[in-house]
Amino acid sequence: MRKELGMFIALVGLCTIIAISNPAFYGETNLLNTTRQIAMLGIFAIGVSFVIITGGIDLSVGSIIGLSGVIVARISAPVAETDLVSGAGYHISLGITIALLVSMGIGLVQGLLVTGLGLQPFIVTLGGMLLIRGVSQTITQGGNISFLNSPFRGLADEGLGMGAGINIPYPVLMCVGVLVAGTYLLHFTVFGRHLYAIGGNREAAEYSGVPVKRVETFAYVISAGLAGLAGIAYAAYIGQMSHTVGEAYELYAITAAVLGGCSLRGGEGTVVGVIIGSAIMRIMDNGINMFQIPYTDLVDGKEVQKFWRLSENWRNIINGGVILGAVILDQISHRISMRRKRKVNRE
Amino acid sequence: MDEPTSSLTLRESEKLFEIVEELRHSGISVIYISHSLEEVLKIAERITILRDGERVGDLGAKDTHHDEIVRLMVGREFSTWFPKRLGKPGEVVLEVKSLVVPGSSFGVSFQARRGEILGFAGLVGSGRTELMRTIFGIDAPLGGLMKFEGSVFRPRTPRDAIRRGIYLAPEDRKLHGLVPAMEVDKNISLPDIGNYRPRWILQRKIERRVATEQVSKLAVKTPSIRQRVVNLSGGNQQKVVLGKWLAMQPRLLILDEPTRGIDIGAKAEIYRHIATLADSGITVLMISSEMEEILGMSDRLIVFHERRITGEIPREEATEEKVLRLMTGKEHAA
Repeated sequence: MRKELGMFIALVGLCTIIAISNPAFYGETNLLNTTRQIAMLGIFAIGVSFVIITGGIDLSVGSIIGLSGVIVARISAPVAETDLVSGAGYHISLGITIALLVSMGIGLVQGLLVTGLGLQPFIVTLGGMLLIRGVSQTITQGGNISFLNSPFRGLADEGLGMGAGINIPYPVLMCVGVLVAGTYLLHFTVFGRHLYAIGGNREAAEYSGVPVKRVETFAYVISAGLAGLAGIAYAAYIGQMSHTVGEAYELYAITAAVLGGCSLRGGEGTVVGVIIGSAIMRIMDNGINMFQIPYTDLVDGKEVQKFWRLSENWRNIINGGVILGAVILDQISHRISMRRKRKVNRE
Repeated sequence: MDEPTSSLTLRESEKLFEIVEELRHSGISVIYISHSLEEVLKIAERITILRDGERVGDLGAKDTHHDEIVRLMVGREFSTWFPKRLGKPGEVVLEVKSLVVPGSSFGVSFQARRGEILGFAGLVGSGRTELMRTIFGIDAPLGGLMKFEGSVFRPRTPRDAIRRGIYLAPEDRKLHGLVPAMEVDKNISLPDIGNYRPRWILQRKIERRVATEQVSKLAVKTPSIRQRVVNLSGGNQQKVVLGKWLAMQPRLLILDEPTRGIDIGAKAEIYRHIATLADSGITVLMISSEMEEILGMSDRLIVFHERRITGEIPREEATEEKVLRLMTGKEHAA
């Protein structure tokens, strides 16, 4: 939990800096939006962390998010005569059910390819990523499917009333549900223990009678299933689906997991850590919009209050730099603790 | 040259010997290390014999013979720290009939009895580890069959073997025996934690109790059961591997080089535990490449040479020279 604590402190620091520079950060609208963004990322980042803990990787989640949303849209969005493709107008529960089943089916197939045929997770899910994206594209025929004014959109915009005008957005509730279920599965069941054992030493797990293939396959099903769930939330949030929704999201998820204490070598990570990692990702993103430094400038001999802001063009540079910085810090602390341990052992 | 023929075919070896001869004639000195006594006798002029890092003999190849080299190689007296056995082996529990192991084309047959320590001697690479992997369900046999406790035994995964009470402590602890980054208690509970009840939630309490019990029974030196096994010494790591199986009432225990890389003190302790297990009716199959150990511990010895069983010797008839001759393929037992 030491990594998680460190990242939590970093998160608090990040929030403090942004909040000081721009009070709008903790305004209701921004807080609500950012929380929803964190929640939606958290849902599928937790999914991917199951695979990462076994020492695997899942690059297909971004595409599954897209496909899941496209399926919901194609089946359950209202019929529109004017568009090239439109929804079929079935009940929303049908769209959601099929989207989730298809997502989990994809996870099952990928899991079986990895465990049954012994293919590399990177390659299998890379192939899956491209193929699934292509399937979304054929369904939308390259266009958009709009939910128009379907009540489905309320799934993202509305929430559970807590009284006093406070609504908890449904995606946040979903994420809390996933957090609780994920914590139970990962930290309080034999299945979770087996995931860590496989990530820690696959051969030793096998030699200890752990049903390695079954457990590992199930991790891919969970990853894909949660990506499907996130896809439904994104569809409601955006209000229309094109085949490009969710592009590069697998990288956000992997980054969130790694920032939150998962090791790509496997065997390490916690659900809470992944949520912290997701929060850092999203707040950093938000912070790039929000962060400002006030200064006074002389215009025509008069003092004018101005703000220095980060350029939108720097977004990728900052994101990339933070990720590299976090990994470098982690490696350094890992080395230091190893060296200390070796010293203790020698004595 | 250090074991230059270990991966060569017979023909290639012959070619190599010719080259060595040519080199020698052109005035180049050759230092040739080999486990094969025939090779050494064939090409060397002078033979130096090392044992435990000390030079114990310097012989002219012309004036010596196979047996003298063997005597010098094993040399020392039996130590007395091998425990006395109390129990007598009972009925046959494991029957292996013409089992063909991957990488071999010969069938292997033997029987093991209840409460017996059955030793497997042979050179490294003689097919003993592969045999054990097959019995434990890691590799599928190419032919033959196994019977365990009266019924056909055909494990497809280690899980199948474990269900029958057959456990393996592998040759390479770090690679196959332990999850190094996991704590002592989690390593000990790993094969059995799925059976703790109730199953719907991880039974941490039972896990701690079982681990504490094994740690004290085996005298594992660790600051706590929450210590990661990667921080333990080799001997204590091996005890953790043993503890994980002893916690689950073994019926047949396979030990592949159980004392490799372990200091003398821990070795003696592990020998005592093995003997106690066998006395309590557990069948032990033990691979060891340490002559002294395999002779001191086994009730009966099976000797491997190039993936075949070349001899089966009861304890009373086992001598180091006899075993060495069998494992180097110098002689077949009648």
